[in-house]
Amino acid sequence: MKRQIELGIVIAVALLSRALPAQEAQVDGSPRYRLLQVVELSTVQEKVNEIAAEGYRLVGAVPAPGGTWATIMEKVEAPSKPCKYLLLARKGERDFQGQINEAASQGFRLLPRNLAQGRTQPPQFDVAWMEKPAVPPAATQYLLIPFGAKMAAKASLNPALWAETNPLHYIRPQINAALQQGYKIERIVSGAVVVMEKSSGGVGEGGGSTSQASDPDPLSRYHTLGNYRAGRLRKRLQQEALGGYHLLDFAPYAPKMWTAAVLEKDGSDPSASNAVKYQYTAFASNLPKLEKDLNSHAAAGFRLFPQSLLGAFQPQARPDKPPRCRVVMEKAPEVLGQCQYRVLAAARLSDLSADLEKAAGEGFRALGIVSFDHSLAVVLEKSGMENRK
Amino acid sequence: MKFLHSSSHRRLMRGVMLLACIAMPLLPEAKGVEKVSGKPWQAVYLAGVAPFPRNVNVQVTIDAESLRLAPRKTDSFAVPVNSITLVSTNVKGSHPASRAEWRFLEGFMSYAAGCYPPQGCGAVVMFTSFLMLASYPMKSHDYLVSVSWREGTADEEVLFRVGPKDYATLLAELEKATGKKWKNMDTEWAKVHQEITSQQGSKISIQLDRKVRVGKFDLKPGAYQAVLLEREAQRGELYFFPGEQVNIEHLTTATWVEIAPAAADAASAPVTFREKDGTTTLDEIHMPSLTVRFP
Repeated sequence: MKRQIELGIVIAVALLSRALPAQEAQVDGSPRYRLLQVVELSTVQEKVNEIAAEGYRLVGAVPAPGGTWATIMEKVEAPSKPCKYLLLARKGERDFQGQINEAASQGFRLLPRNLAQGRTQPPQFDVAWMEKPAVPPAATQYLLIPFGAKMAAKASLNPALWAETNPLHYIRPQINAALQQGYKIERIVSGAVVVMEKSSGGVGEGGGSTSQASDPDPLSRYHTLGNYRAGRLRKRLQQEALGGYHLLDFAPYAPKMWTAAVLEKDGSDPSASNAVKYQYTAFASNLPKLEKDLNSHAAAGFRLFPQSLLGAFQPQARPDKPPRCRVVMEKAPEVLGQCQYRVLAAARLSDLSADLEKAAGEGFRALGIVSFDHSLAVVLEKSGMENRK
Repeated sequence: MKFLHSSSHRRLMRGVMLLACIAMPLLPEAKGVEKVSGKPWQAVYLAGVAPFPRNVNVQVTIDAESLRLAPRKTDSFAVPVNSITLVSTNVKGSHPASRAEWRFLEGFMSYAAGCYPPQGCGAVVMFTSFLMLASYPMKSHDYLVSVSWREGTADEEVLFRVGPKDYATLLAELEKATGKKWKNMDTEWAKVHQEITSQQGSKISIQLDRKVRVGKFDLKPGAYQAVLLEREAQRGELYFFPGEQVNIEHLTTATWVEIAPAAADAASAPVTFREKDGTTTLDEIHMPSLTVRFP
């Protein structure tokens, strides 16, 4: 009898131990992150809106291994005020700008960090995520200025541009006209398009700076850097920062010899002793050592410039080496304290569920997703010591 | 024979049983070595989260616990059937689809379908025949099956292609395993086609003086004929046709509606609108016998 009881206990323990893994997924009914890895773009939008209705906001979306799209959403709002999302995909030569502006007229705004996450390399501006927050934003208009091969071919016919090394200057008249109308540069999809945005508070509409409207060449306020290697990029960014410029956008997948970084001049005089000065660092890394690299620079007060670590990094020429990425980090003058970074990687996004919840419990917040060849990585930041002036 | 009943044999057998019970759950991928019952279907894995290359041949098996994709040279990939939230199918080139058919599918197979409040969203498994390809004859016949499921905090999907002979049996087996009913929108459309034809006599003529959005489509100002198909108490499907005639091939849009008793105020406007987020939508259509309310 005693042996039968022992046997029964052992079997019960064995069966229970099989059942346990199924129970560990959720502690409560509302996880901090919801993950999505599906095939069809239409399904992505549908699911994202379903999840948004539960009080989540889109953090990042990238093309992922296996022909899928990976998306991460973070719980931030009460379900009574959900955001809505619209995923616009360019089809042929249709009026993409018109589609974007039509959605903008309904209260949607472009999510600039999730532009141009298409599968092509370098990414074309073929996918645009738009968000309609619970509180409708100011009326917004968008302008897409072609910045690709056709534009370059056209510019090559103009002898005045033959000596020009900055491709952004090929479209100087269009950009200047837009800047004078109150648009600002929102994102550069190098080799494809410059995305400009104007909100109702822009020039000529009761707000914003009027200096651009009166400036005959407002593009002169912007500097650009080419697609340099990490060491040279770091030096050039530092030089520009000393000259009173700060990084506005960075396109990690810019084609060779094309614009990768856009910098904007600060209002202050760079020669003044109290001038606001940014500092920059740039380095090459790969997935296995990314977290360590980020944290070593974060210890010196730098913070990840998020646009530099978005999208999909493809394998390089040598297949035995993991895909490399260039990371740009920024030290803004008004930020004190240091950040911490965590990089969670797996082949499937669902494998990160538990680690993400654990990291969230430790105070980390997801910045976005990066796709490295056959792996997906979620980059998280903890800025507990941050103290903005 | 004597040995079989000896105490040493009994001790040995007991020890083996104990070891087996303890070791069973500790074995890695214990689920992976379970015997898979059911007929295998030949398929080509196209995309998704399965850990093998795309366009590889796989065997698909379905049992009470899982849908399994098994390539020849690597481990199989299992999807728990009780986690499946959506199965959709895409029949490419089986026959040309009309614009009207596409509008019908968009009207009822969008995110609103299956989630209409009275129905409840739940974990309804829907089979959709997306026959919305260009309306010209195609020779190829691709039967694509997409399976979505939710495990923990993650929604995932796999997409594979099966042969025309395997298609129906696989879907039937999947329905059996999930225990959830599904709709084949291909046959649904044929039924609706017949119903609209027979209900043409009770069409509702409406005149729109502005652009309105119904479902996923905008209706331009002008005359429309609407045909109501009552599905259950206080609920129906409303189909819009432009002009003065009900021409099934000119279907503009279709949507779910609530059916309420006729308004007491007979003099009220036949069509009322509402504005939301800068978009005009229909609110109600008043008829002598009933009122149609839009969700």
